[in-house]
Amino acid sequence: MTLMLPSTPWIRAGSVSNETIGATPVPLATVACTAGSPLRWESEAFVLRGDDRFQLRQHVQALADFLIQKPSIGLKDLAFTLNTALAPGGSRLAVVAESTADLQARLGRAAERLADPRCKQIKDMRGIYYFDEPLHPQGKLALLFPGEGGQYLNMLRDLYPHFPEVRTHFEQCDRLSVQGGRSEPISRAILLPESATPEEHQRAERELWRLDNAIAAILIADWSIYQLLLNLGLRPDAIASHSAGEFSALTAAGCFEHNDTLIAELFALGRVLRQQEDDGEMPEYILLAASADHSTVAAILLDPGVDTFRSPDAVRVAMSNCPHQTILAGLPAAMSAVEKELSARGIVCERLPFSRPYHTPLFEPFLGPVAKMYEKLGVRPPQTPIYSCITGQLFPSDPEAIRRLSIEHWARPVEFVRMIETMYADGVRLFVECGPRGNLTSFVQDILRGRTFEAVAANLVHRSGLTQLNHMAALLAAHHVPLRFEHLYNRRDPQRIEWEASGAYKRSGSCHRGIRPSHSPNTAVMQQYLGVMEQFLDLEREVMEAFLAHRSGSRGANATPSVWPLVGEIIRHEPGRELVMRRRMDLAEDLYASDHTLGARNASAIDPTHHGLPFLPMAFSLEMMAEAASLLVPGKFVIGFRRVRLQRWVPFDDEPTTVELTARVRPEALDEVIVDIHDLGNAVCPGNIDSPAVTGTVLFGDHYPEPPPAENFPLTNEGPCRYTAHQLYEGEHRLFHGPLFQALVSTDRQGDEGIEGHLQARPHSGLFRSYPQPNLLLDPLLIDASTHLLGCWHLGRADQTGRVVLPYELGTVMVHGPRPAVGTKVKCRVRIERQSARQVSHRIDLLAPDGRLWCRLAPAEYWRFYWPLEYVDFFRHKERFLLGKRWPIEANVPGQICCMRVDPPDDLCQTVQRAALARVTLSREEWNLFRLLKVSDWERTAWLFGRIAAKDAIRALWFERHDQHLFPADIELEVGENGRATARYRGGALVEELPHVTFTSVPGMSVAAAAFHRDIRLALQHREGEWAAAITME
Amino acid sequence: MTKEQIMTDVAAILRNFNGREYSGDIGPDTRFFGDLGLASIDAVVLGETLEEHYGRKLPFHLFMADLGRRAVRDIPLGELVVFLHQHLKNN
Repeated sequence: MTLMLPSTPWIRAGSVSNETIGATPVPLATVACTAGSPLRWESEAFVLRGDDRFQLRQHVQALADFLIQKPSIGLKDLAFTLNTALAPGGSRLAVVAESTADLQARLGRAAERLADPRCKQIKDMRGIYYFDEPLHPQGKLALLFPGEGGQYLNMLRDLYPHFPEVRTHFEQCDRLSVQGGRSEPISRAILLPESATPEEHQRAERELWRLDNAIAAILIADWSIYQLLLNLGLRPDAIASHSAGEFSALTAAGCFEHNDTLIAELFALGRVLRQQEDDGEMPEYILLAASADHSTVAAILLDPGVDTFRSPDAVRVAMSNCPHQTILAGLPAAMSAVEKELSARGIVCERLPFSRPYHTPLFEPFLGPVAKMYEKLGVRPPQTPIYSCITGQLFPSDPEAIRRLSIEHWARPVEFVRMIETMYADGVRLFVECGPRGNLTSFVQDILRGRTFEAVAANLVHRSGLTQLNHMAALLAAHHVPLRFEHLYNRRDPQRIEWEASGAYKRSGSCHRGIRPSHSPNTAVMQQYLGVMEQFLDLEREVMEAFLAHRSGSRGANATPSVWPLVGEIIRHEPGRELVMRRRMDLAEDLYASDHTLGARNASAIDPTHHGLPFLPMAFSLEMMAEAASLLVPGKFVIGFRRVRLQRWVPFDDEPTTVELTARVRPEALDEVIVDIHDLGNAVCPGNIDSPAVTGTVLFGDHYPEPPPAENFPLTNEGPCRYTAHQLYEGEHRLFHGPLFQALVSTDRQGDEGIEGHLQARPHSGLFRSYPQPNLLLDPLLIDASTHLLGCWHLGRADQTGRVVLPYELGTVMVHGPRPAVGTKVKCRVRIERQSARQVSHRIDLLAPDGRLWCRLAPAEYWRFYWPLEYVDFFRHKERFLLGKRWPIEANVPGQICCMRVDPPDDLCQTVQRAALARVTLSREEWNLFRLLKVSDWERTAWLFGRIAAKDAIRALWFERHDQHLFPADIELEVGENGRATARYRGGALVEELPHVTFTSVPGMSVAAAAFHRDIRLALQHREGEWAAAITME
Repeated sequence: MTKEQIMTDVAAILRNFNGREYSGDIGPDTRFFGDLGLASIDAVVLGETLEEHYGRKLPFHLFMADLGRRAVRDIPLGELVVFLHQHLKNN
């Protein structure tokens, strides 16, 4: 079998869209829809149920009380717990909230309203929904598909990372749009980079209203939302649409089969019609929205006193949308006269941004391509009742009659008012708009004003996609519409909370599957116990030492250099002037490094010590500088640092490396020592003798400087933090720090200006092998942990990219007292002072328990890195996510053949970040080969990403067949000629052998193909500016 | 009639508008679409409601036309209040 398929020109790394569309690799979620996302939702929906209204109110109050006791409870976990255990019927209250404080306020208001017997319903637009008489199941539910005019720039962008069905449909349409002749994927007409200028925005807006783009965009959005609603468990009793929404509506009703052919034909129709428009075959018409009903507008058109447009063909009613909107179409001169007349009568008019006279006889000359398209499509009787917006009645069931009506549709006026009236008469009470913007919802609300019904949009132009989805789900749940709420949490690592009305709760385990080393329960409990005991003894010992040191008054002064663990071999020492020393950086000695690993932790199910790439923490660089500089300025306190620059990260290698530190006293300021640290590396991992990795000045004093007066820390839009300390470390693996570094104990509040939390001074035992109780001049663990809180603020931001931040400069560090005793809780405040796309500037304050400033880092300058979201996912849970996407899609046969493509992102091709990725995707033996490679930079990237693609293909195929996740580092590849490789599982025998695999790379992409029990060959060929893959089975 | 009085009237109308409540603060900075979750048809209906409330015709088509020309099509209620204040004063 040979497949030859062109590539899709996916958006390359570097463009902003890259994070959301083009280079987004397909995660396992597209296979199983179960993987987790790092993304936090800005709001959650909560549904409470009681057997009756009285019990419901009791539960509302109990939940409000519970939140007072547990203000840091995860809203996602609470929502998941409540909504996925919802019993049918009863009395229901649904609330949408953005924070615990929001939720408390809304529950309080709901309880108050429920106590009032006059209250029959609550429909508060902020997100409180309750109905004494819910509309379901007595009332039918209909889906309404909007047509052209519903599209808007960046629609669904915020749903894209969360819902694989949205992503998959965009990708399908991107592929088909390029195959159909577009120069770039259709998604580029919809999704604009966030960096776009106002001019680019305006241009894109105009383009989106061009005929082919408009039709394609609305089709993509309607169908993506339809798939999402189906996955959410919504099952319509009826379907209807407006104008071009009919394509999606007929497909959802079962009249068309949704496949590549249908999409390609619809895209082709758009292109043909646009060509007619571009060629001037279609005269330019004006479409005008008038804020009046059909009969009012028609009467004005027929008014004999209005003679400017007496010709009956000059102006036509194209759409009767609702009592407050009728659309007219006509030639420019006549329309200007109409507009003037309507405005003079106080009717609000707005010209629409397109010029096609759809839904009038003026469009009849252009129906040829529409008819031709229908000839190519098979039409079937509807499976779900579907209404026509031109007859206002149900569609016929005869396929030929459906075809005829669908063609006529384009030249007959839209009778939306009549259709909604018919649907209401037929028992429809719930209308859900299945598409973007929300126009149809407001039409229905206008048509049925004063009657019993509900209309809600799945998406609104003025509200975030996720929040509107929550509002829609909440409103429908309050009306007792059954929903499968699990879909909202599938990729979000939810934890079930055992909440009861009494307020008691406990967390139970994660809902995820995965391969983990198994321990007997008794062993695990004993290990935990011993760990806690050891920590307790360490803590007690250090508390005692801290107490004694404090009493003797020697604490903090640099009298005992022999115990400083980061001072190495002294090469040269001119007291009071200069010192040069070399320090071996050895993982066996520097135990802290293994808990500070780029690429995060837990890369293997077989080897629990297999983590990311260890590197020297900034705070340990400060400690090393302080220790060395103290040898030149004896008897004084380290009171701070100035201009500490991290030019390069200092990674640890499997073999020890060496750093060389030079310290010189400033002749003009004898209390200041200038320090450079060079990374000399080792034979395998060479450093750079020519330029320092770290530079800075250490400041000394006879005593600690008085701290500045305490300041308030007001926060705009203040709320609880998005993550707890536990979630950041172990709960959700948001940060890469191991247990030694986990000094952040609470995240208390955050707002636009920054974040506040508490750190706890930890024991320093266990940081160095040769120094069981090291005497450190600073507290690098506390300083490092202050940056964890900083990371928490960035992780909680709404923008979903650039959240990976790493330090590069500290302007000043000022220390105002000895380091806090072990066990002391230190308040930490991080202020965001400036930020741009690549850099963020912070001020970090650490406050002693008496409220005085102990240490300030300002400015703390950080780089932002743009890792595609799937890479962020992957680093958190390396067994559950892929880094590639399926390509060519047609070559994939579930459970048998998997073809994967990985496009290396720019940021992850940098030396240290690439090494971190290699460290967690390669087995130890492969990692050793990678370290020893003597190749060009590009070849090194290709070597790594080729293997990542191969392992992705194997893992995806294995999951499809065995429902089992594998870590890439647990798969070892032995590569033969032509990229064909033998894959071996390092954990022993599996139920069957891993699939055969082959892979290859070209600049910018690596491709792999895997198949069970059959040899598979793969070749890439470059044709007419595009890559094509040839896959051969033997 | 002062702007404050008009703002109070507008807030009272929007507090429970066409069967939809709004329990948050309503002030000059509250946005018609973004905060209150209303649609452009609702803006037209609000215009009619205000005409009825004040017992006179008001040139809302001018206000809406201005809105249509803006890049960010949303209405802070303060602007509506200024518009109402100007036309109620003229009348």
